[in-house]
Amino acid sequence: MALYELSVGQKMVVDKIYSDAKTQRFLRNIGLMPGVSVRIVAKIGKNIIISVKNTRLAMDKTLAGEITVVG
Amino acid sequence: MGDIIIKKQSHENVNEDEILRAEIKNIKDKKFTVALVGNPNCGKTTLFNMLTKSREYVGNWPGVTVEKKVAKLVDNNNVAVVDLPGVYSLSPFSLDERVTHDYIENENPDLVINIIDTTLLERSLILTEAIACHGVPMVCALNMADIARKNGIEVDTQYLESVFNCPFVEISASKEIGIDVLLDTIAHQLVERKPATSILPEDASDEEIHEAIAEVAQKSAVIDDKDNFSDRVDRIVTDKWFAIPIFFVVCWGIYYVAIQGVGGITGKWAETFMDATSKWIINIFNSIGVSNILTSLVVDGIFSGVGSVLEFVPQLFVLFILLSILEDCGYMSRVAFVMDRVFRMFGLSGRSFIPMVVGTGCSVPGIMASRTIENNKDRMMTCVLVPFMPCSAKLPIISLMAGIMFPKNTLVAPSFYLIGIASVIIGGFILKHTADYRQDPAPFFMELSQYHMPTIKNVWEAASSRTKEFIKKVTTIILAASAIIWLLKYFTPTMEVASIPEESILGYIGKYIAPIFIPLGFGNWQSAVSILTGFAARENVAATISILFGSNEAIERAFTKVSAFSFCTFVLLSSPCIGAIAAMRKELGSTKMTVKALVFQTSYAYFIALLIYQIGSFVF
Repeated sequence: MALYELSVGQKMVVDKIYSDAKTQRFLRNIGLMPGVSVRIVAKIGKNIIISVKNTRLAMDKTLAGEITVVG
Repeated sequence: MGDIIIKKQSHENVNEDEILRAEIKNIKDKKFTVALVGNPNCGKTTLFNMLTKSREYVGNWPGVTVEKKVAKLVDNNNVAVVDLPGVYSLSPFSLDERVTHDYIENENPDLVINIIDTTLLERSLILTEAIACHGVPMVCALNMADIARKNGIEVDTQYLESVFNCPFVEISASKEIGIDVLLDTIAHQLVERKPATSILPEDASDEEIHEAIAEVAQKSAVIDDKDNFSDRVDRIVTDKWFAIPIFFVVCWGIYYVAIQGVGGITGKWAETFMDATSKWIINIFNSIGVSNILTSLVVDGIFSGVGSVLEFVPQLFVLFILLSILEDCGYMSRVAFVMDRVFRMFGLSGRSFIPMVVGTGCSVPGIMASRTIENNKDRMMTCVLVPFMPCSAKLPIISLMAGIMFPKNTLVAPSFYLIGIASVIIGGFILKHTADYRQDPAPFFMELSQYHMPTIKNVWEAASSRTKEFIKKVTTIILAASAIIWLLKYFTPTMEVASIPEESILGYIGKYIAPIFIPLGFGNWQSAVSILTGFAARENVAATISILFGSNEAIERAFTKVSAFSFCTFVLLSSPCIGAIAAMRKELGSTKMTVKALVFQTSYAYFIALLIYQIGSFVF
C-alpha cells in the first residue's frame, strides 16, 4: 500500500520507492530506503509528516504516493 | 535539568592540553587547516561562528551556506577553519557534496571536524563513515547533546571512538557548552594526527553501508521512536482545520507589531528627522554658496528619495526579526508544508510561500529568498509573482487614498492584501499556461527540525544581514533613480529650470501618457507622473501625488471612490520599483525574461484596474 494510506501513529516498513533518481538519493541520505521502518506523525489529506530514523520528514501526496510499505 | 555531562578526554591533566595549544601556537610558520563538515541544519554554522568568533548568518532554508568560509580559530592564529557546505554524504551527485569531497581529498586539511546532530545519530554517521574512508584525522562533535539527553538518548562515545578511531566530544553549540573541551581535543589531534578508520571500504554498496551504520548506531545509543514535543505541536499546527487560521493569526500579529506598531512610531520620527535635516542641509548649502540647482538635487532629489526608503528600515528590521524567530524555531517549515496543498492548486509549491511572506516587507529580499527553490521554473515564477504582494513601500499610497476617499472604512486598506494574494493565484495560473513556466512543480519534501527556542544571536544576525542587504541594494539603485527623476522634474525639455511641475520633462511625459489611463479612471497627468516616479521607489507615488495636487481636497476632487481604488490597484500590481527589477533580473538570469515579466505584470495590472473601474463605476 502507498504511504499516504496509513493513519497517524501507524508504523510500517518501506517496500519500494518509485521516485526519480535524485529524489531517491535525497531520501536515502535522510535514511529512507527499502527495509527501513517509518511512522506517521501527522497528516493533512494525503500530505504527511513521517518519522524515519528519528528524522521528521514532511512530504506531499505525490511523494507519499511513490513510496509503498508493507506491515 | 538534563544538562550534558562533559566527558573529559582521557588526558593526564588539563595542563597538557594548554601546553599542546601553546606548542601549536609557537611552531613558527606552521599553519594548520581544519575543515568543518556536517549535515545541513546540524548547527555547523553556529559552531563555526563560535570557533572563529565570526558573525555568519544562519538560516533554516536549505542552501543558505553556499560559499566557502574561512576564518582563524578563536584561540590560535595559526589554525584556519574552513566551513564546507552541509552535506549528507560525499557521493559525486550534487555540487555541495563534490565540493566537500574534493576539498578533503585534494586540499589535505590537517583535521576534519565532523559535526553531528546527536538526535539524528544514525543518519549522521553515514557522513562520518564517508569521511573516515579518507583516513584523515577527525574529531567528531556530538552537537545538541543536551537535547538528545533530554529525549532519553545516551550515547556510548567510547564505543564510537573505538569504531572510528577518533575522539567524540559532546557539545551544545548554541548553548556554548563543551566548546573548551572541543578546542582541547582539536589541539590534541592536530599534534597526534590519528587517522580515522572506516567500518567498510570505500567501494561498499549503499545497502551494506546503511546496514553497518544501523548496527553501530544501535550499539552506541538506544533511540526510542515515539512522539515527542515537536510531534504533538505539529499535529495541532498542521491540523486540517486549524493550520491556516493559526497561521493567519500569527501573521496578523507580526504585521501589527512591525508595520502598525513600530512603523507608526518610527514613521513619525522619520518625518520630523527628514524635515529638520533637509532644512539644515539647505542652510549649510546656502551659507557656503552652493547653487540652487545643486541644493535642489541633493535635498529634493537624492535626500528625499533615499530618505523615504530608509524611513522603512526600522519596520523592516522588526519584521525580519519576527520572521527570523519563526524561521529559527522551526515553525516556518511547517507553514510551508501546510501551504503546499494550497499553492499546488495553482502551480506552485509550498517553497514559494516564504518568499511571498518576506515580500510583504519588501519585494527585494522576497525575490532573493526564492533562491532556495531548486526547481528552476518554480523559482522564476515565484520571483515574478512576489511583487504582487503589497510591500511596505506601497502602503503610503494605499493609506493616503484610503484616508482621503474612504475615511470611515477600515476594510479598504487590508483589502489590498487580498487583491495581492488573489493576484498571486491568478497570475500563477496564467503563467503556468505559458511556455516559459509550463512544468509541474517538483514534489514537496522538507526535513523538519525539532522545535527549539530561537537563539537570540541567530535571529539578530539573520535580521541584520537581511536589513543590510536591503539598505545596500536599494539605496545604491534608488539613489541613482532619484537623481534621474529629479533631473526630469527640475528641467523643462529645453533644459531651463521648470517653474511649474507641468512644464518639466517629467510633466510632458506624464501628459503624453496620461490618456492611457482614461479607461482606468485616472487619466490626469498628475497620476501619470506619480506612477512614473514610483519606478525609483514606490513610496514616491504618494509623495508625488500630494505635491502635484497640492492638497487632499484637490485629490478628492480629481478622483472618485472607484477611480481611487483602481489607481491603487494599478500601483499595487504594476511593474515593481527598480530595486525589485534589478533583483528579478538577477534571479531570472536574462534581460529578455525580465522584460517579459514586467510586461506581464503591468498588463495584468492594467487589465484588473480597468475591470475594477469599468465594472465599479457601473455598479456604484
